Amino acid sequence: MAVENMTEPKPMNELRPEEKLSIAGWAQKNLFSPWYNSVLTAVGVILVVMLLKEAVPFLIDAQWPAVTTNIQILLVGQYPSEELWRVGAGVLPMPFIVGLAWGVWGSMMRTFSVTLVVSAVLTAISSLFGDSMSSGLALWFTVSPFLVLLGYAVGRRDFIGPRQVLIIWFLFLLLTLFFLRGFGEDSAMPHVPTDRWGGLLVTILIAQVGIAVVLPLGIVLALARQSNLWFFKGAAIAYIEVLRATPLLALLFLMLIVSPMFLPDVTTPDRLMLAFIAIVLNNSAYMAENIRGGLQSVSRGQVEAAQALGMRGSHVTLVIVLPQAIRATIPAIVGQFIILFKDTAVIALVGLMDLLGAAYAIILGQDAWRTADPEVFLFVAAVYWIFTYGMSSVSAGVEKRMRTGAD
Amino acid sequence: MSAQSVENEVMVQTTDVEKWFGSLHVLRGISVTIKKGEVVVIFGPSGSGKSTFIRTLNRLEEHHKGEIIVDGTVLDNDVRNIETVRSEIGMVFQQFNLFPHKTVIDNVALAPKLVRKLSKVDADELAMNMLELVKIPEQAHKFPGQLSGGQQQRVAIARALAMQPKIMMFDEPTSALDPEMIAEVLDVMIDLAKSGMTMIVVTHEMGFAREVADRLMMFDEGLIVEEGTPDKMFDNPQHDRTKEFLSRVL
Ligand SMILES: Nc1ncnc2c1ncn2[C@@H]1O[C@H](COP(=O)(O)OP(=O)(O)OP(=O)(O)O)[C@@H](O)[C@H]1O
Ligand SMILES: [Mg+2]
Repeated sequence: MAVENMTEPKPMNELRPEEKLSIAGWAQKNLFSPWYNSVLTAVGVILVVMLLKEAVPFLIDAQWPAVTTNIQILLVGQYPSEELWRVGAGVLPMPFIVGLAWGVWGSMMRTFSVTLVVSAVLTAISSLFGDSMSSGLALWFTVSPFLVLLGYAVGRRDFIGPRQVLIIWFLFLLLTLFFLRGFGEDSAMPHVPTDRWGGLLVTILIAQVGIAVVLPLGIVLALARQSNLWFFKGAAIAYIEVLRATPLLALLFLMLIVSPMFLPDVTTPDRLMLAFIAIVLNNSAYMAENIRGGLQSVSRGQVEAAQALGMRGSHVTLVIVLPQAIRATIPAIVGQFIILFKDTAVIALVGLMDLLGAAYAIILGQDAWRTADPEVFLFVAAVYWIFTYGMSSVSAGVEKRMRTGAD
Repeated sequence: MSAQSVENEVMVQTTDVEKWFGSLHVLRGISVTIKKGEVVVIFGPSGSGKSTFIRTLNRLEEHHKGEIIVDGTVLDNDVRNIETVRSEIGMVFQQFNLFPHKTVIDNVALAPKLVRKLSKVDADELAMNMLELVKIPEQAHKFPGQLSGGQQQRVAIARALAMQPKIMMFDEPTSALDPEMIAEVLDVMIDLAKSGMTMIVVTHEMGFAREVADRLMMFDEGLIVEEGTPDKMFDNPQHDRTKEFLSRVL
């Protein structure tokens, strides 16, 4: 926190006069000189014009109702309509926690949070035109930006730090899952099996639970691979090398088709859970290798200094080496999170209803929208982009902070 | 115990210590006895085994032959013995090796908390006392990367002292420092020596050796070729290797 206050006044040379060019001067400098840039500029302009000529009529004629009338399927899949309030209430902590993280980590979470807030606000505004969105949904998108801001205000306070945010996030995630899943048939929240869950809800749940599981698992695997105990070392090497050599899609088919053969007949396997396990197995192997790279980057002198102070081996690893390794690896870790988020889309290929699967269901399942695939896929792509762009900006922010060397 | 016997208490005793790196015979029979309160300076040409020797004393390197006893504890493969010895010997490295992800005060307070099981309050108070001893309490809440080399090395000394060790070892503590920072570190070490700390110092700072060393040891090719008081070693060295080496560093 103190680091924030230490930013020095901007050095004068950042305001060099030649940087304050006129538009014409800027164009001259960046677009037309040297001569080959003029050619590139011309080619670029022609391409953009051609693209717009196609795109503008498409966007005007587009069948956006394919998206708007199906917005519920895209967001939550076939979650029963009468239980939808549970989804709305269950995921309410998420915008709050995004805000908390923004408050605690500051600038590097800013773009992520602002992107989500802007998206929610735009969705809420769009619900005013046309009546395809349920009032509950419109209410949710209206409330959530305020929850982000509330979270931000709380996160700025001193009593809350990175560790608290992670704990709160983890606990609320468990709570959300229980809320969505429900209990017995007669209870106020009857059981909703996971094959009714779907859409963006499933995508962000798998991504978040995946992140929460993959990072610790990757750390344990990396430490095991570095250990002197042959059993742990061997098991970790086998796990990592086998799973890195298996394509995620093959693993997914293996989990969903082959593994039920080995399960006792009484249990109907939870397909979403099996798909989730496949994603975790695959990503944790890569995560372990990222972390191992970080462990190797910590100098021998660090270990010796800790040992010379009389620290136990476990303290040396957990208190001295691991935190430095993770710091050195944060950009790769966030990169792996982005990959995991995008990987969730493969579960659509085994018939599960994540965001992409919901899009397939709309196009293939309803005759009215059979030709509306560009609109639906454009929408899906835009939603993925919002999240991956947000995460990339976090990664860029982390790298920037590491370069400037603050802390 | 009489004052006499406390004076003569043996802190470090090594007998015919030998070590190899692969086929390289780096220590070829080192026997030393260091008493409580003694300041021993080790010097000698590069590669002669100075670092390796002091690193065997806290088991950063394993020795292959001979015996090492530190304050009554025999250094063998028993992990508890190793941890006991390490918590009684403080070590300062040429490259400082501060923990870059911890503030200065946390660097100093960490081992007392984890090893000596001090409470956070007690450990922080102890750490501040140590930082005052090395004259940089005002840097307590900075990170090591924000300090000069001389300041970092003084933090490293404070960190070692916070374990309240009976022996302090220094491996070329000023070799990585700019000349104008050497004095500030040597001053702290001189104060420490005068306070009665048992010290083993690998250094070529002969001014320091002359001022506070009780005994000098000249290492060459894994052996102690000559040892004695500063007066004897500087003014009347016996061995050709010692004469030659000192003529180059003095
Ligand atoms: N980990 C190691 N593996 C292999 N050889 C080593 C290792 N550490 C040191 N050596 C070798 O052992 C010999 C003694 O090294 P040592 O570091 O003890 O010398 P030194 O007297 O401290 O020299 P300097 O003044 O350069 O620090 C050298 O030949 C060195 O190359
Ligand atoms: Mg050395």
